[in-house]
Amino acid sequence: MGELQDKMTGDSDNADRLRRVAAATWAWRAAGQVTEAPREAGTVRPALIQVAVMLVIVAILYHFEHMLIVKIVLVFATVSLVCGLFIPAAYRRIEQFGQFLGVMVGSGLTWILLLPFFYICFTIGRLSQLIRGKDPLHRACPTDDATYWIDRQPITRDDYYKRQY
Amino acid sequence: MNILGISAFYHDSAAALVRDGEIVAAAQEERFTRKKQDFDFPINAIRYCMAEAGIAADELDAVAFYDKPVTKFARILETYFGVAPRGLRSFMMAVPLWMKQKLWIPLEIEKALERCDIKMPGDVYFPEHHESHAASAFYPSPYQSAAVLTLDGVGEWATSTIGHGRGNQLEILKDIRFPHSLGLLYSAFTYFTGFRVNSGEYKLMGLAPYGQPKYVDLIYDNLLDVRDDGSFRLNQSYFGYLDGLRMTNDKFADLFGGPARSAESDITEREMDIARSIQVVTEEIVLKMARYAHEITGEKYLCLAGGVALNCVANGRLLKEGPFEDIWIQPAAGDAGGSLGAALMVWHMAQKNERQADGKRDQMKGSYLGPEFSDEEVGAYLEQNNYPARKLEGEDWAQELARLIDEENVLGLVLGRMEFGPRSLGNRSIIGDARSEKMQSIMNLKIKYRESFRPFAPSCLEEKVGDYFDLDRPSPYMLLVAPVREDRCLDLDQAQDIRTRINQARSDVPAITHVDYSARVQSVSPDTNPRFYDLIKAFDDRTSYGIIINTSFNVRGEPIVCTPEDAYRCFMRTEMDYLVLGSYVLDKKVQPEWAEKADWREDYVLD
Repeated sequence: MGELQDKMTGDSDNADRLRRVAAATWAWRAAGQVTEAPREAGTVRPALIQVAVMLVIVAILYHFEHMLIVKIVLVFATVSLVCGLFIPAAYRRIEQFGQFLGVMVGSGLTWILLLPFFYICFTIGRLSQLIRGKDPLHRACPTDDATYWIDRQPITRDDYYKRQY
Repeated sequence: MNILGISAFYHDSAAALVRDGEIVAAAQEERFTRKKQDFDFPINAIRYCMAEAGIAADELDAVAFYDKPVTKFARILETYFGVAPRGLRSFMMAVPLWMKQKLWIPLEIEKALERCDIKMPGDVYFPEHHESHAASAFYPSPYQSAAVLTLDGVGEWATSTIGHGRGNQLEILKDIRFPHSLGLLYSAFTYFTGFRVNSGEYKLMGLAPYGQPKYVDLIYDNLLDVRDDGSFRLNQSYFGYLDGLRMTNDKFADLFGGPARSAESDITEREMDIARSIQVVTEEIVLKMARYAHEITGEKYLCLAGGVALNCVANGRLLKEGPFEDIWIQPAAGDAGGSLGAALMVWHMAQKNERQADGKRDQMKGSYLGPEFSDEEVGAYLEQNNYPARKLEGEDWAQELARLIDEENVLGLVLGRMEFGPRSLGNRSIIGDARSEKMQSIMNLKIKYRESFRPFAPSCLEEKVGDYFDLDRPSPYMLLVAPVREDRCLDLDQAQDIRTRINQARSDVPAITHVDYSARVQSVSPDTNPRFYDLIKAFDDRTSYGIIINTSFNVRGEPIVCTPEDAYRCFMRTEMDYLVLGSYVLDKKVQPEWAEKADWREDYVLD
């Protein structure tokens, strides 16, 4: 009786396990269900936020009397507002263009920041190593060393496995 | 105690779950995302591990990441210090990724666990990359004490290590450091012979037997300096990986008499000879390292891990010619296995828990550590989609499948839990008749859509391994290459043309006999995979051959299938004859027409 009960409990545990695994890794049931089509994200709210931000910029620029840029930003704000309120498709195009611009600006900034950093920091570091005759990469080959194996120091710190370095 | 191990951000992201020292689950992210060697954070693999273990929101006790990210970043920066002003392109690719993601691992773990509705545990551990590899090799092995050798491209600094495992203690004794790396040397030749780095290495190994070792001296004289203890340095003036995006440079090309082969172009004798030569050099270095590991540890057994440990030709030679009585290789020897090693490292070294090995069985459960799907689930799926199938039970199942194989059909097989690691071991496999002379060509060209020179591996009843191969022990994970027994081999004229040589029958099991009369053997035990064993046994009863072909269930560039749905898709896209989903058998001839809008081959990047 006990054995039978154990077997039944084991079978039930296994069935639960299989259900959990299937639910976590194979979503065919969910894919087969007819679900409500996702509603398109609204354009009014983001457009209003954008216009509000642009108006703040306009106020600052107006204060410093940059009238040409004020006019340009106002045109952008008007176009955003009209498209956001009445022409969602056009607004989404504008958004896409904005995202593209964001990526381009991001990539550009990465290069602007990292390129000088690379040449200033690493080239000077390399020169310094050359002057001191050091090569942390131990590239000399062949050498007179009897072996290229390097002895490991025993682990002494208690927090060794918790450190990221 | 539940410990989640994670490897991510390089190639082959994976997650593993260890509960009180027992390996409960492990899977690679690529299997779920269907993106080969997916290196993104393994959110899907983590979700699976949690489901498999039935872990509630507050039941995860610790997370182990498989390397020390800050040390690795420091190594990368130090490399740029060593090569500037060269290396800009590589720097511009690497550094933004590090700043955005790779330096903030605890944050990434927290986000992933949140998506799985699991509370972030207080303890996050970071063993070193090669410690994780070593742990994945030693702790699940059958040995109470052993030498441990890890070999791969690079971790933080180490590229190869020798360690010593005793009980629950694992100590790394020595290492070789970047940029001197056996893994990177092999990858450089993979690149030069026109295959993809980090995935084409096994093709280079498969190509090697077609060539002659003409370039061995050239390699030793110019590319590396090897000591008797197996330690070495690479002559960096021939390699491009330190400061560029290529593995080799023009000087390397000049040494081998011309530029690198371009991908998908014809393979010439030069590539075959180069493949053979670097394979010989690799084997010799591995043997020397193993002898040295034996010398300094005095152990009888060796455990191996790291990507180079997947070189099963070298493993076979190590077993035969090396100083150890036996060797054990982690079946997920690449970076995926690091997730498992990291978790085991925490259990035994950080938490100081005891370990008892019985000297016979390993703790990998046959490497069947992935998801499985019940017959009920499969049946419901087939019914909903109107896919006709027969359900076979009891002995009928094995006997019917044996009959189909005997009639030279090609079967896709999805049984039980998915394998962890790069090899299909019978649960996500394509199988066929090893006696068939046309099977290698059918499988390569009509089913796998891959290069015709590539060999297929056999799955053999464990007790009959000695009947087919010159091998006196089991090889459950397909990680040993052994010669086909001489009395089964046929004498051949050594034709020079590769196509002629591929199509020659070389033994009475020609589909699995490579050109050098070797095979990458899987022995199948009733203890770890009774259903697969029954199938081969039924084939043996029917034909007197307890051996079949077993290749991974995928097409070129595709990750191995995970769910029955992946399997059905692959089945319909290729010229497989039957699909076996647990107890269900599907005949291609009666399936509804399969239509796809676009060319599905474009979904996969060729490896």
